[in-house]
Amino acid sequence: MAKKVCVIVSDCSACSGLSKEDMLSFKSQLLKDPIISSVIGVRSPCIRSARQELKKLSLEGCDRAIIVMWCPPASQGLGKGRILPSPVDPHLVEIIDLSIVARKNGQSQPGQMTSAVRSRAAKLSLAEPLRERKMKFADPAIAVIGSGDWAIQAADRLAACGHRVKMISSGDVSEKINRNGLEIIADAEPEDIAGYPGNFTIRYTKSGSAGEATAAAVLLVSERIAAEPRIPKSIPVRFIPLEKFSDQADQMSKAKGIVFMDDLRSIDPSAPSVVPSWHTLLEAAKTAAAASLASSVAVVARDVKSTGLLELLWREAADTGVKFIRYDDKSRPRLSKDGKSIQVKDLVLGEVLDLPADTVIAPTVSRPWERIFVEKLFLPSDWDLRARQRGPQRGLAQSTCDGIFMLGYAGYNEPFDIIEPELGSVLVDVISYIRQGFHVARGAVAHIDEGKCSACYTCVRTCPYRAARMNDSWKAEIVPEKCLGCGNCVAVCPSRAIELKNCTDEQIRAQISASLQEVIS
Amino acid sequence: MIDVIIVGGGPAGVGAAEALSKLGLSVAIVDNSPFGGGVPIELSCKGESECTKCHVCMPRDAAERMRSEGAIDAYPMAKVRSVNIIDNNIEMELEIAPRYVRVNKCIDCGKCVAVCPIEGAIIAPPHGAMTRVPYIAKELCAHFTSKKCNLCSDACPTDAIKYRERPRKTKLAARAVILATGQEPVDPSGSLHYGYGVFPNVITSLEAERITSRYGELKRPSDGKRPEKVALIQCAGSRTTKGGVEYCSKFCCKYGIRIARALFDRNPEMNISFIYMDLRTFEPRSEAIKWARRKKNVAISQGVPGYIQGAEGGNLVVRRTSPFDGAIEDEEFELVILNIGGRPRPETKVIAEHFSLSLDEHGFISRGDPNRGIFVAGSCKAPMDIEESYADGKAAAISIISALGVK
Repeated sequence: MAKKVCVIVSDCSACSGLSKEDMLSFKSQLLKDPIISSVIGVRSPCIRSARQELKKLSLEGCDRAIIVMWCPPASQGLGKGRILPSPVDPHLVEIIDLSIVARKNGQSQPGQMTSAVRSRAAKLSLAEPLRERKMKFADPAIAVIGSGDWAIQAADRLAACGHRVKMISSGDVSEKINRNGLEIIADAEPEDIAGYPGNFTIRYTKSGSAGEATAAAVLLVSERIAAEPRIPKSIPVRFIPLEKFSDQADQMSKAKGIVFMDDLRSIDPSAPSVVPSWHTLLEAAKTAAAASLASSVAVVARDVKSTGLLELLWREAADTGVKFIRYDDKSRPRLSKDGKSIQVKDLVLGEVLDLPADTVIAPTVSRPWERIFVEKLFLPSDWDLRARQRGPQRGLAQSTCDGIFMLGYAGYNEPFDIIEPELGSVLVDVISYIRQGFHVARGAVAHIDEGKCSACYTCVRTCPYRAARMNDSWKAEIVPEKCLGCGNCVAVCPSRAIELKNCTDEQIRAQISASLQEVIS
Repeated sequence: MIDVIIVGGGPAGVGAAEALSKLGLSVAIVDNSPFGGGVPIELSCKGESECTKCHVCMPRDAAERMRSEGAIDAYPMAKVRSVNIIDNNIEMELEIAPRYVRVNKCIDCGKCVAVCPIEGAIIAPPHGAMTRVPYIAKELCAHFTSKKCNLCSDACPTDAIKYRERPRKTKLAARAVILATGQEPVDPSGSLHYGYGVFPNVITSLEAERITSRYGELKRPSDGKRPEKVALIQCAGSRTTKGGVEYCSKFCCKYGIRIARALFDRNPEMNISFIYMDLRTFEPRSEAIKWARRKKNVAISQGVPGYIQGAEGGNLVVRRTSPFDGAIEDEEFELVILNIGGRPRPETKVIAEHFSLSLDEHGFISRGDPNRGIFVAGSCKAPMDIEESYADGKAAAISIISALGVK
């Protein structure tokens, strides 16, 4: 059955080159068509106003619309995915550019313009809305990957809610904590992950032999694992990772000076940039000063980021005798030439201080397995392939890839002080995803014409769902299970190799009849 | 019977309600303001050409979504009068203040708001409100002040306006309760050295947002001029023992930087001076120092001022120690924005007494009582920003689910 279509026309005479009378006659001619229900004129900024009109229309129940514009970007399909507000179905909206038709031979052609819009309207009125594909989970289990306390807690709480949980842990997670029927795969190193949302297979090696685990959802819990930095051995500085300090504090011999640093890059440029857990750092500094492990205990930091109630801990630490020294980006601290002290320009006093340092304590991090997942799953990541959320409107630690959830350092480059709310929020997402019972994929799928693809990586960089990737023959391809049909890649592809596929038979028939009509008229 | 009652409709309350209703529990939200939504409902989007992740719209969109789905029962303008807990059954008595607009009759046509001659006397529901019914402010409305105006009542097509509405009482019972009473901005008039309330051009960050959302750009309150030189002072009313709170409020660094960036985005000619104590942001997006160094007319420096003095033409002189050489320097600004911190709302104390929970020295409810079915979420627990309290609400929801079980 043919549905009615609404036409949104950019009213601007500057862009269209039409006089007011021409524009009025154009609109009134359009209204004569029985398929066109209404014609709405929008003023500049036309794209934004058209967006708002579309939103209003979709609220009123009218879902088919044609946007008429007078500029080339609209004709090239630029930003169909970007122009359309989110509830609008991209299959039911057309953006057309009439500037070429309007200005043919230097004079306006109202008749041709009307027929162009009418033929599009005829196509649209027969178009089918997107159908969602529901893909059932093969194995409705949750894989929790991680070895620390938070991973255990997450797995335990998921199991307590009655879900099947497989915990793949590189550490030695004892079976004792297994209260709720967790399936624990301890001492296993995750090697590879394959599959698509709702049906993942994780390959791991356990004591030399390979194993496999299937899961519908994966929760990556990454935690800080202490790593030894590459400080030259000639420098007589003892380095202790912040994460190991509490274990080593009892056996530490008395030192001349302990320096806590917020970032090791100042003295070791090859060290990765790490945000310390200020709670751990302040507690450690306080214990060091209280137990008088050294004659001087200092914290050297760009900013003391003891947010919230940690402020009080900072004050307590300062009262126990910890010196806090802030430096500026321009004058970073450095090791003195003899390697026995750290020189830093105090931002408050404005003078260079010479801090005795035979022990340096700084946060470190190493996450060997994270890289695998980032590469295999195209998770949003930094340039150095650390998993990181991207895209607007994401809460704490939600990933943009369906079925993959991240917690802790894997999802967010913030210190661990806020992990408790993060844990709960991720668990809600995991549980509601699993309870759904199926993965929802949208009807439209982008398709890449390999002959046209120039392997420029633009779509790979653009795709917000990481559905585009390069295949073995160095051409781009779209993973159909991940593609949500947003059309961003179609818009940006410089060689116009991508198009949204999955037309229904009715749409194709409508297109044929519309083009036949064009030929006849 | 309802499963869970949430006290407070801010980000934490909304986050908890969304998570619980997603997982199949029935939820009621009780809020003492006309529209709920907590602090974010007063804030505006700070996006530039792209989203800066200020998360103001996150709880508002969630509330809108839930309202359109009819997933929650909302009780706006309600105060908790008494609480009775017997065997994990929590009974609450609420007193609902008059709204003067009948909820079951209003069709949200907006005619009453359009005809009202006094600004702010009848308020239309903003985006993200718990209910789409306007609210009449009794202290401003001409019907109550002079008894003559009946314009909104005449304009209403469904006869929904009822000036004679009285407070009514209602009872709610549930298996568990989440307390998410949230926080309120600190009043900076306690820190006398900044002269807030003395000089008209010393305003708070919230006032700056109100001015911007009303006029579309920042203006001076004294003469309505567009300021050319603006100072943004962080940590006003927090991290201080004088007239403020002792702890760090956590959200203001991110918030202040986003204000500075939004101001620069709207008017790139403006001279902005961002003055902070410590820059406590973690996201690379708001690494303000890198951003500010690329701009000629944006200065970012450490060391909050000692005091602020008035100068000619409504200008202000900010005196502080120079971050470069330690000398005392004066700088003149046309407008000073104090970025204020947050403290627990006074209602938190009353609510905690009802549920016989203890407060810590700063007035936060540090811990709930899961055995009795009482959970605490959001910034009434500790200082939090929008994103974190939204997540914390969800976290409270998951602890309720492990306690009560999923249906």
